[in-house]
Amino acid sequence: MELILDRVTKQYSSKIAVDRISASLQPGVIGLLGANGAGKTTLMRMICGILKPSSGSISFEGMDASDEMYRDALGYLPQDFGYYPNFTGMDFLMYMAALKGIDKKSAKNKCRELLKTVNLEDAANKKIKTYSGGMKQRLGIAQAVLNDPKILILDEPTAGLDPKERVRFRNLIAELGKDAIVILSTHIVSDIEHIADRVLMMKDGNIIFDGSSADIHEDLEELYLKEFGGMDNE
Amino acid sequence: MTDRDIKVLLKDAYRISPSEREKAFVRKHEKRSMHIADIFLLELKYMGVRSVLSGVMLILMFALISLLKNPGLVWYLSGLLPVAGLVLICGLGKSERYGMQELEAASRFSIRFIKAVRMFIMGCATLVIVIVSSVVLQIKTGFDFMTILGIIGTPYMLNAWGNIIITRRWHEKENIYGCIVVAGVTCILPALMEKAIRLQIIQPLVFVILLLVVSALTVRESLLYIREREDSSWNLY
Repeated sequence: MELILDRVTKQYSSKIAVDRISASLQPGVIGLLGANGAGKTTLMRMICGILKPSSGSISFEGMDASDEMYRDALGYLPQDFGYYPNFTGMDFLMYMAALKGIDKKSAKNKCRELLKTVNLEDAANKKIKTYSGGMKQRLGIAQAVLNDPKILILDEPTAGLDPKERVRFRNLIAELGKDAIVILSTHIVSDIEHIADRVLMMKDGNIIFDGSSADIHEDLEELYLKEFGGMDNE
Repeated sequence: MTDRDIKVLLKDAYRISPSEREKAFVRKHEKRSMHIADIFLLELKYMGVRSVLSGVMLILMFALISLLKNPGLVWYLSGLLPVAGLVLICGLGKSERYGMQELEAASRFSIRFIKAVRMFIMGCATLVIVIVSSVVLQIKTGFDFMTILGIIGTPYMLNAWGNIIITRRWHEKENIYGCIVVAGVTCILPALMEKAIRLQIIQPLVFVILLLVVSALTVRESLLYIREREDSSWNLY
């Protein structure tokens, strides 16, 4: 199982947001680190198939990122996402399950199971507008894993979570990374330093570091600060 | 062995066989199937309560106005139809308004397909309103069917065309304000049309021709809207 990025480039008029990135990603947790404007979200959107690369290609098991079957293997948690105001937590998950092509019966069981996993069982039938930021984020995480994705893209997933939820979430990600390609974008080094099998560091649309935490002879946070020390973080 | 034989052998040796992994992956996912009808039902099921209530209110208003014994009936209904269009366009742009488009775009059934389904539902609902209104007006007013269609269809179609242009080019959720302005302008259009016909400045046939032209433009704009959903809107980010 391999996700291949081949010279992926994204250009917006005169600005190159992602510059000829090539990588071969295998199952495991891949931490994507970078400051604001480094190109993380653009790269993630391209991997999700919702943004077309200006050049280059993205494929998984021979399928292009624009294929329906590719999207079927995908789970995505965007940095910011909304919800329809009349939805309860359960409605939201059932709606997402339907869009992911999961049949109603399996979806119902899966949604209940996931609401329990993300600790939202009691709030399942409450309107999402009554949820706190952390609860919404947990619901977002639940929808991302609804279809047992083979590629899981999480953009700033721990934003809004309290420390206890963060630890819980980290364990969940580590578990998912056993048989899926989990790409976790963040600017919080502690979110990935203990669970990421591989770290990709982005700056100005390029990957400036690709390796494991063990490959770094210094602290990951120190390396990050050295690279981005002068910049404002997200 | 001739050169030709060698070429054939080389061609066979270097032929890329279909990826076994791809085939296995597709097989594994074949069990999940969903029909187009399921998406229709899903969209109908999750249609907002406000949209449904607004639709019911409008139908009731149509019914009440139709009971009036008034020669101006055709103009009242003509002015009311763009409001129906506005309610329906609100349903079409709901992904953007509520920030769901990124999630919907990354799901198996792409946002392009969802939009097409919403437009189809929207189109069918308004078609029913236009046809029923035309029949009622024909009975009540004695105007011929084409004249009625031109009078009530032109403001509605102008509103639909304007709203789709706005929704296609203005991606922020504030685009609804633009749609309200267009609906407001097209609501007062029947008053001008009535004056133009009464003073014999314009013949009713002109509105039938205008309706056909605007309908063609609306279809073109709708196709562009569906085609651009997955590419352009995101590429502008």
